[in-house]
Amino acid sequence: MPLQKFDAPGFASDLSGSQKNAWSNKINSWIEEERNRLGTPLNEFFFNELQHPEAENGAIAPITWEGFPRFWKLQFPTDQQKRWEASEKLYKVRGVNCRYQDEYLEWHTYKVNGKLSKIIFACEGPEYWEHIAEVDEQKLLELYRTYVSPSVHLSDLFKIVAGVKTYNRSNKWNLTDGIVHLTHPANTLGAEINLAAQATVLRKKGNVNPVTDTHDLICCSGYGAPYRFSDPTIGAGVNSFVRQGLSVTLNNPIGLYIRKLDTSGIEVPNGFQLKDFWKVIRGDSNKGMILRAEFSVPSGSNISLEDVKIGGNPLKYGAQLAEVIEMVIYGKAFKLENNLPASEECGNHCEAIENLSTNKNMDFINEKFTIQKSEEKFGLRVTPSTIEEI
Amino acid sequence: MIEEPILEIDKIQGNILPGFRLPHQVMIACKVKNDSNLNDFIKSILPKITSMKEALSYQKERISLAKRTQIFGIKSFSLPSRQNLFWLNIAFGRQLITSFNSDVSRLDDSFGLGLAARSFLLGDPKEQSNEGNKSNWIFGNEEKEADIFLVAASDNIVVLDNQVAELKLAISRFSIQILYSENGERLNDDTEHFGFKDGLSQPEVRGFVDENKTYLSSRIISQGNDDIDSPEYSAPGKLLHWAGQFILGYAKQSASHFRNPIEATEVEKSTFIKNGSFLVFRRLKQNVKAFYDDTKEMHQELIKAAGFENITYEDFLAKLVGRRKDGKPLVFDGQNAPLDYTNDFNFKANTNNYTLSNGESVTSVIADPQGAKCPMFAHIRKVNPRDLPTDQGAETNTATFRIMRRGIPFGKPYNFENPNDDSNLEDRGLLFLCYQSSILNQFELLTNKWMNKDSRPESVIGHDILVGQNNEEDSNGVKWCMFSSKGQNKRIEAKHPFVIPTGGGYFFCPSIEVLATMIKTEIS
Repeated sequence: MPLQKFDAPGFASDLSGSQKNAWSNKINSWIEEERNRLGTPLNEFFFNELQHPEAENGAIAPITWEGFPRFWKLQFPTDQQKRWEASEKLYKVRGVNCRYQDEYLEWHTYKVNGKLSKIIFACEGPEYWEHIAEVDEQKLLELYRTYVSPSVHLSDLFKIVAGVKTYNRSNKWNLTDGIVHLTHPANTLGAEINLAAQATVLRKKGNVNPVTDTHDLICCSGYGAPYRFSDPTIGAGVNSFVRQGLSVTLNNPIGLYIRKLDTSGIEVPNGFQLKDFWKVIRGDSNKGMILRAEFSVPSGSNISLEDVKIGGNPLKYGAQLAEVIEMVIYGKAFKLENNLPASEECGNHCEAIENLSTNKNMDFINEKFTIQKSEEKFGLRVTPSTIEEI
Repeated sequence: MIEEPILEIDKIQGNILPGFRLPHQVMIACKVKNDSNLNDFIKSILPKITSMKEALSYQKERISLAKRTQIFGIKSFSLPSRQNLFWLNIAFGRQLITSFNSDVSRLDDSFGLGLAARSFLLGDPKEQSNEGNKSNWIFGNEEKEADIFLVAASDNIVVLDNQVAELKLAISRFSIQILYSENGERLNDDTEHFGFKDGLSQPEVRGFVDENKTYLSSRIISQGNDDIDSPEYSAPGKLLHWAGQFILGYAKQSASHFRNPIEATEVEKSTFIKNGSFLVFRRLKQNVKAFYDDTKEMHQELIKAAGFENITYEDFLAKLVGRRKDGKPLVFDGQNAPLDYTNDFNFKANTNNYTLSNGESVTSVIADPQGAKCPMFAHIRKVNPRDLPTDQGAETNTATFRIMRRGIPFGKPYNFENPNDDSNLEDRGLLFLCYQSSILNQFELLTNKWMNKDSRPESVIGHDILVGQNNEEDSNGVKWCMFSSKGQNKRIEAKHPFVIPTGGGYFFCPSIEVLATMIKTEIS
């Protein structure tokens, strides 16, 4: 059936009829905004499916990547313990309190008597939750109480900005005391749509036309950070469709998803099955559209998560599971245009890139500096005060 | 720009570089007990340890004679003046080596944990009833973890048998327990037991072998290799890698540039670790009957689907591997490719036109970015994506995952003419060995992240059907791959594993210099 409206991520059923329409309108406007930015004729290569019902049968292309931040792997290439620890601290990035987990997957760990008891993984962009806050505060409260804690109060979720009551993305139930959606400033649905749109632009650089190199593409177009697993992979995937003469879009429902937990290296204690620990809370695991999942000790058991092993290591960090979580977005490709778009000159979004691995021996104590230098290095132009551990 | 290093070829063990390659080999795994006399054992075998220098000198002579006489493969071992060789290398397990130096285990978390602990992560079966479960291994599980691993080799099987018999006597004399010993033999045409030519496409290594700066890997390209930001080849298809990828203590391949290296760390350059390498050994049993029975069924299923009717069985097998049985890559299909350089191809970009130093021209080979000829699930594309970007990063990063393979088949070839032959019931397979500077970031990554995954390193297109494993919960071990042709797709499933792990270990192969220091000074 041709697409009539954009659904909530993972076909979530939180919204009523008019609220759903309002969400669809938002997605539609973001897509149109990106298409306007691209201009004619490029915008035909990033199409709006509401305007192209014939794209119903377009090829759906999952684009996947690893959930654990590549950033931390590059910082600590062989020391797993250090990378796991570093990834679970909280940071201030560009003025925002957040987790430095920038692959569109974030997690929050719970401990009982100092031992890990539960890990919650989430991958929903903040915009959807802002939408709920805007259209139905009571629903927002109900969902927070369901997913995080009965102790949540509505006032915890809002802040006053310039005299206006505003949903607080970094509220304590989403940061220090729990998790509902993504917090890193780069982890947004808007970023996903922008990335997909900008990646449709073919690029030329010197004698190379079109540019196909993953790293060059992201540096030419500036649609994300080259040191991540996610952005270069998504961008290169989208760009390769356009190079084949196809137009692309993000398949409905547009969202960022956990495709699966790779269970191969996970050993659970005798008498238990993995499904006793891994529970999908929101989204649809059969469709590879998981929005929220929990890894926790089975109720009534007296074991700890440290009794679970991953690759022979006791489970002490959510990061260990993030390394075996596969993320996905679903693209859709469809033949709309007969001619390839002209390539545009390469932009300069990664000036002064040095070898990231030169940072690998930096003392962990310097992590603030390391993050800042790496961000600067890859053209994000942060100032020294924009990132700090909190 | 760091200059290519002068490799300390008299200190590096020879199976790391250039590799023993001798047609007859024996692997021996041992356990050191409380009453073992390890000191005297190492002392006794130290003079027999074959260095890179010795192996290199022999291999250069052999290869030179082979080219001159056009006698290649196993027969070429009859050519050199030196005959009846006996070569030996030694490596140590994590528990033993840590008693000498704790930095080694810290350098590589996977080595520190050991193969048994990492087994499930590598896709090995979790059910104890399964032959490949570590509880059933010949050696290498938690109860039978090896402390010493020896690789012995000869051009002459009689010499090898005699020398190994002596070696085993010495091992017993020093109260060291032999957990495992097995012969490996190179098969005719250098195939593995499924019948495909093996050992192709080894990484080429940068560096000099003497003070006169003689390259380890001769540079024979005079034109076509000039772009300093692109990959550099010593010969068509021979991509150069910094030595630190395989031998610790030297500069390593950069993640962000094809040619510029990154420096080794201070720990890697420390005396105990420099010139050493991490060794992975896996005894991989190959189920030849299941491979042929199942793939015939899979092929029949494929050709029933519209658009795939004309695919022959041999083409089908070649798609699973990425090469035909004689080693010819599928990327060469439909073009005049340089058959003298069967490794000269890429997946993403066409290769360069080369002029060689002898004046010969080598024409460009057209790439296969969409996997039209060599599918994205093909074994050789999964484990060596060449110039492709991967889920792990940009194309510059791809060379950092290469390993130096030193495997050799074991067991008799399957008797297809007489399927009831008793020997068909015996084990056969591959004694898989590989050397690298990080087991975690090289062997394990190739296995766990690429071969065993249906979505990597390129896209959601299927598993490596040939070697990959799927031990995920509720999967029943089923692997799949998606064949595509002219807009049609057909998913094909493999229900049984063709390769079964039956033993192994992670080891550290120290420099010969360090071996000498492991012997305690005698007190007179």
